[in-house]
Amino acid sequence: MGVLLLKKIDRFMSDISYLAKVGKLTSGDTEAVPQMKVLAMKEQHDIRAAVRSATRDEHVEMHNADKLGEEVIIDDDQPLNRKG
Amino acid sequence: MTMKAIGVDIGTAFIASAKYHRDNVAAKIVRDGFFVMPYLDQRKHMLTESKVPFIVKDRPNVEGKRDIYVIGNEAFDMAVLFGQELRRPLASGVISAKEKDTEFILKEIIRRVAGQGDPGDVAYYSIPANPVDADFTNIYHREMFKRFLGDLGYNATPINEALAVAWCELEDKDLTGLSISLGAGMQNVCMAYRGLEVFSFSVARAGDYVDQQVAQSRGIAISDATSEKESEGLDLLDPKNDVQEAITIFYKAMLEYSIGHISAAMEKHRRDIKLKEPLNFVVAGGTTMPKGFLRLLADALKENPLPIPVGKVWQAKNPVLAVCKGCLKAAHKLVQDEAYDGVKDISNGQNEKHAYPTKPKEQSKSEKMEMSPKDKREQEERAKVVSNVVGGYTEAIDLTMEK
Repeated sequence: MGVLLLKKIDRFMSDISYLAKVGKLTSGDTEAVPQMKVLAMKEQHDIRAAVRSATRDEHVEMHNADKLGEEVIIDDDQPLNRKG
Repeated sequence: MTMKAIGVDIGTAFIASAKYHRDNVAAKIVRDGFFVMPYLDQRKHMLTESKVPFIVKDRPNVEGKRDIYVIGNEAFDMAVLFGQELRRPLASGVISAKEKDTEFILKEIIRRVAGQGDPGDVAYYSIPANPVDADFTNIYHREMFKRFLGDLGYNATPINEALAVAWCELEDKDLTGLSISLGAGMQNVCMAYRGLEVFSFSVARAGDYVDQQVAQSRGIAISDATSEKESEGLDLLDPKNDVQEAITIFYKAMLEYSIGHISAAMEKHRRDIKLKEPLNFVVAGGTTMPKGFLRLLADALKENPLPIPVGKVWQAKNPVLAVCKGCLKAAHKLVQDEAYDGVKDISNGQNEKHAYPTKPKEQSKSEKMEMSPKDKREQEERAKVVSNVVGGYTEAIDLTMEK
């Protein structure tokens, strides 16, 4: 349910941004867009908050987090260790 | 304020991130597996002293009991040592329904690879396409990772995993061609034309399938099959023992299976695909790493020709990091877009705005400053490490020359 609503709002926001950009909205509509955007964002925020509260807030203790995984730098133009 | 871009590859076996760092790409890679043991003070002290990354957490539904979750490469080592299977919070490319209550592990790994974002920072993260041979969707998975990254401050956008490979490797081919991300849980396929998806799908036969089948056929533990598959001595064209022989057999079976599905998809979309030149075909992902993989694929394509003729077949420069680099390029494109105001994704991830990734923004004066000797040394050290992680590059095979 939450996911479907999120998708709907995402789509609505994209449509509004697009229409505003290509000038298909009237001046009245354009003035209304920021307000609609704020409302949509508020609703979006409410739904996300509901999704968040639906999952448990667990207490976890992370140890040696800085040792997790490897950090590497890749030279974008000269990949290393090419094997023929 | 400068908004930054980050690419995150969420794979069944590894989670990796990529950011631009001066003229290079800086990547972080974490194996997303875990090994659980009951909590003991002594164990906690030993693991802390040994610098092993782990999480202590209350046992679900049991009061007063706690468990230790070792995560990352060390979890894999322990699984092999104790002859057990490495447990994973993801399965078949999405959050595992089997491993309930382990989302906190994913959250910690994401926190580690992505780091804290600032408002307006953009993260593109990879998701698998919906599978053609399994009964699940990616919706829950997609939204959960959007939340994880959103909680860290990022404006998070999903991108198809195989399309991310195209962003990484098909820049000079107008983002047109066939790309496959061959990971542990899933094989993701995307046919792209000028950055648009013509079709995409995933199949549930990838590295894990090979491991399971090899383990079953040879009567060994799955982690032992994985270990043999990831060993440097493996050459798919010249197996040295019965386990390696089995690995080669199941690699061939896996490739023939996916070629069959690609053929079917191409037939279905034939009217949409009009190419003047033979198709470019790029593969990436950890499962493409064994020596001889590309030759095996080229031979499979010759034996089972696709409806659209294939030209060059090649492996990504850095197979393990191609997806996160592709995600990074897509994210960077959005950050560069003048219409982006740091609040909302201005595209739907499939339109012409995303048609072509560009080079990083011009660096600021302070960023252009010469590296200090210490930084240079550090970068050289890191570059040495990368060769152990991302090797396996093979030159392209041109199938039009082999007929």
